[in-house]
Amino acid sequence: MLLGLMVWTMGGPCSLLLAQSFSIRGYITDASTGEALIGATVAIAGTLRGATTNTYGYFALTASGDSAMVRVQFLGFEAMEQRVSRLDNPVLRIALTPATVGLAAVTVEAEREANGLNQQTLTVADIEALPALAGETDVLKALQFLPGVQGGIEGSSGLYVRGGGPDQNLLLLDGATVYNASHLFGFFSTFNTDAISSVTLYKGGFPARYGGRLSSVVDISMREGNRQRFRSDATVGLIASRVTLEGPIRKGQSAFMLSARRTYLDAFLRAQQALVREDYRIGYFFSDFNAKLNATLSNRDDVFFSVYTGRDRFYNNNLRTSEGSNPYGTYHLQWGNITSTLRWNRVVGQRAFWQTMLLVSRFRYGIRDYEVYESDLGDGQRLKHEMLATVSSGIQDITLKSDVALAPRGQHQWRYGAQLTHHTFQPKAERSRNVQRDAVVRDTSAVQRVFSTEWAAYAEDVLTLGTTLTAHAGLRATGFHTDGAAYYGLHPRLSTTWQRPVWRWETSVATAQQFIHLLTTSTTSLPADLWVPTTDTVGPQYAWQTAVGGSRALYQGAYDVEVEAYWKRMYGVLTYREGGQAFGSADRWEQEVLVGDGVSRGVEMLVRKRHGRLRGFIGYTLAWTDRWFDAIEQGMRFPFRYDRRHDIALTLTHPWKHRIVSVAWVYATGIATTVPVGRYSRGDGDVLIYGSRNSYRMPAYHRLDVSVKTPYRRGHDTLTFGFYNLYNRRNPLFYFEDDKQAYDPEQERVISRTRTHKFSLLTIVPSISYRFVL
Amino acid sequence: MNRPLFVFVWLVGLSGCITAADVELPAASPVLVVDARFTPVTPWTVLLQRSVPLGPESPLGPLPVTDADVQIAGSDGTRLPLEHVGGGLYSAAVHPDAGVTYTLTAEAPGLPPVHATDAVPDRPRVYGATMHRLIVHDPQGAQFYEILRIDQYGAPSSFRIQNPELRGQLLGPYDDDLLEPTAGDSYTMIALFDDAAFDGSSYEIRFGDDAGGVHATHVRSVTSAYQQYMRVARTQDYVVGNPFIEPFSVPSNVQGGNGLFAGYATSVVGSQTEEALRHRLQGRYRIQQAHHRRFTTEVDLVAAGAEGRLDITHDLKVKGYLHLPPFAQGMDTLRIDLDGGYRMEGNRIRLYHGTGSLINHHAFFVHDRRMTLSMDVGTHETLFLAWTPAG
Repeated sequence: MLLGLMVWTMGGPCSLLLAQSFSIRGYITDASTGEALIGATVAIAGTLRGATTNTYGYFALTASGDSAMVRVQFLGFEAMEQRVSRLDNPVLRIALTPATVGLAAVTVEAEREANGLNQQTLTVADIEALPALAGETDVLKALQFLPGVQGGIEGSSGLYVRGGGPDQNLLLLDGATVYNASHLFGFFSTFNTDAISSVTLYKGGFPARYGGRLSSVVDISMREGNRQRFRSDATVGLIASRVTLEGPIRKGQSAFMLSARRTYLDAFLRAQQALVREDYRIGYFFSDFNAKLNATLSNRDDVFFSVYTGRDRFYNNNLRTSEGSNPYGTYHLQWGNITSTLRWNRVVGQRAFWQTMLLVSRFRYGIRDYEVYESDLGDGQRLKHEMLATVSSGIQDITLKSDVALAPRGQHQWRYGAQLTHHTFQPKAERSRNVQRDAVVRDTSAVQRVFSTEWAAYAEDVLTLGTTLTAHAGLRATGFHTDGAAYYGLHPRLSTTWQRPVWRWETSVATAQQFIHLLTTSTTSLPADLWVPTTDTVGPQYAWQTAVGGSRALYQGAYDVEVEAYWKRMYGVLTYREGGQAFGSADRWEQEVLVGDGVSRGVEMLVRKRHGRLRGFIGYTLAWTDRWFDAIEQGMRFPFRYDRRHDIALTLTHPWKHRIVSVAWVYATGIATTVPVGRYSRGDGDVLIYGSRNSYRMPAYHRLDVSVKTPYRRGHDTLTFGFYNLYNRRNPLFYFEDDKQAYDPEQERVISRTRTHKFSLLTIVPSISYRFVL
Repeated sequence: MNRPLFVFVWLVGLSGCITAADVELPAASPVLVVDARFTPVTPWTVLLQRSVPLGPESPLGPLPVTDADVQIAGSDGTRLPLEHVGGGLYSAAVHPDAGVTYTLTAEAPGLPPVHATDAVPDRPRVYGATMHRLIVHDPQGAQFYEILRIDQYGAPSSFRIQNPELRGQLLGPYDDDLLEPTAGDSYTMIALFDDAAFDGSSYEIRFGDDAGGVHATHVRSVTSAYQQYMRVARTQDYVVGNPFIEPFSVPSNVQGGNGLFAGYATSVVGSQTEEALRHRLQGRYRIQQAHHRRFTTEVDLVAAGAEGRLDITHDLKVKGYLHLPPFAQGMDTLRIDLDGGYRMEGNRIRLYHGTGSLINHHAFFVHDRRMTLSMDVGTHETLFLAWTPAG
């Protein structure tokens, strides 16, 4: 810390020595669509000064002298140079022309350089290059291939980053929090890849602008829409179809983008049930809808408005048939998110980029159960009963956020901002209504709501020391106010980069605090998982993490190698007390949880092949993750369920004639689980005695996925054919015992013969999808 | 299975598969398991069994420990050896006292010794009881309560408690389940709750208005050990085998072993006391019916020569025998010596005798002095027995 202060103190005066400097700032866009290019490199020719564009395609840097030649580069686009004068210095709007089109360009795009060891950016092309379960490309599943990221159970889109839980990830869609990012109980994420432009994962060393979660930030940007011409495309797959429309509202000035996705298992089932004249209709579907509008109001002002809404719905309706079903009624289980973002970006003066956002996030889940039945009173009289029961829960946030990013001045580049969030937690709302003989005999309802306020303010500075050393420092102040409790925190963040001739070394240390908790009743993502606030008895979670690593290029840049070691300590993490989760009560959750600690440490390695016909990467993680709670096994440490000693991911793409073949292979140490080791009798049933928490390892998990993409119509359309789990590995999801009983004459008693079975969820799953331009 | 879980299983079942796993799960060493819930109106009984590892062939029901040395020591200076009466049941004709802390020690050959400590809490103070309400005067400090409502035969009767502040803890696990809406307050057979919502005050408990069959309400003060064990054990009954819930062991206050050693005290509203039920039960019985059923084939074992006699005393002793003709392949006539002890659980009676007999530890339902048992003796095979008063 002392060294840091000295460095900062020295950095200030140096900036005063600068003279005749001026700021160059502007936006870099794709000339073919008008959309912002994220991560484009902007440099001043003949110097080492440069910058990369942010999420909005904006950059800012400082030049000296009367003019400077700006060179803009982005992989897959023609480089461009433009001279900028100190006296004539508007906000630049530079459009880059794509170098090539089609699949070849996609694979080039997919190899874009990551921004740092703690930060990984994926484009849609990166995600689409990977084989996908049922042909549904998935953002979160793509992230699971990265070192340090676990995927939870088979097929799940959950994220367990560096030993953290699924609640410790901040999922942002255009800045708005997505609280439940899963469809179909976690098999698919809510993010439609047709509607997004890029995904950035921070798994440590978070910039101070991010906060509220301990383990990771997944920052997803929605596409802005084509400002140059109307375009539409669609994808038809085995389980879902997608359609996307985009185009200019006013050419070059504003655009819209609409994208929708829906599954159709329910349509097949409905047809089948109608065909065989079933007197019920049971079905399930999920759908997503993304929309975005953007407009440039002036050379300095841009506004954006985006909306996402998605839902899952299961229904089981007993039809009232001509024979008179008894009972009949409807059962609907539905859950979903809504997020919306209204953002105003403004370039202020010569140096500042100011953005203000109004964000709304909502997750809600609900059940509606309506039943009608008739009871026979004798003498031909029948009594009609109607019962309606509804239960819902959810969380809603309204956030106002503002940030200012300044252009570099001297050795400093400052950024600061603040945000205020109003949370509305609704653990439970219910209604019960009974009607007999058309008269209401009971009609009750109750709603629980908890209101909380969370605020944060931060400052960041990127300090450049000479030509090889850069420090990124930040401080985040946070506060949380809820019923009878208030918590505050101050979180320093520091990361450094030291560029040596061969290796680039990075270090980071960061602290984080989390004021809301996820009560999850299971090992997969169920909609009834409940977000609850920190209270006066259950405090916030807290973590600090440090990492050190290096990266270098090999064989003239054909390969990149990254190695990083991390150590993460977590305080105040929650788990259910023994049996507590089965109670699943929203009323007394504080009594059902235990508060403890956790630690995760490991080494992550990534080798990327960036050029040539064969491209891809191999990632390896060696890690240990433990948890401990005073009330569990006398406070002894036990392995976290997703403590995986070894985790390997290999992805390869290779052209085959005019096709692209992609292969992905994953291997992970088996899940740590708790198994029964004995039993005794308790009256009519048995009490099972379990071994130590998570002391048993399931067999290792591994599978191979393959896909082949074939372009048609000069690359405008693509047929994708693939297999998930090609060699049909039966990875265990869970074990269960099957008992058979028989009388044993020798012992003169009944003997139980127990056999252990395993349930494997996804064996080989073929997929086919066709994407075409309408 | 709750419905969302059903939805999940229904959806993933399309692509999932079940295969036999060639895995050997670790086995725990056997330990002594104690079952002793003691109260001042009942003589001391302690049931001892040994835990069994899970395996391809393990006996169903308890493995009674019959050769243990069992002692009770009280904080009032009591030193009480318990005598084995049969089937792992140890007893003494002495009653526990309220307010005394007792320590159990037990040693058996080949098993680690165990000890456990607990006390009988004060009887709950109950006022103003009607069919639909009662008032508990709760003392200061953490208290735990268990409520049962029973019918004229001593059988537990389902009931509803309408106090919203007790929801979520009455019995769980699905009393207050977010996944399954209930049309009003859910029914329970046993309510188990703490006094967090009413510590140190008089508290009215309101029952649902459908209490027609209820003849008595038993309000028990129970200890923390009792509450923790019973709550988690009952929860395990509900969720065991559910792969989406983290497995959990049942907490035990028995050091070196497993099980429960805990006290309770009961205030009864109505005439159906535990003692009264025991009084009504005592007497001589004979086997009246014995059937063996396999799928749809039923064999009358009494007609085939089954006979038996049973004497039940008020002090928890039994004496008698049961002869059953062969009903399984390779079986000779089964002669069971029933001399031993028994325990009452509401309208159920469990007999403890010998070590490896067929009906040891099984519960007979008592209905108007007729005792019946229907038990599985194989897959799709049941044995039905009925005792009725002799003469």
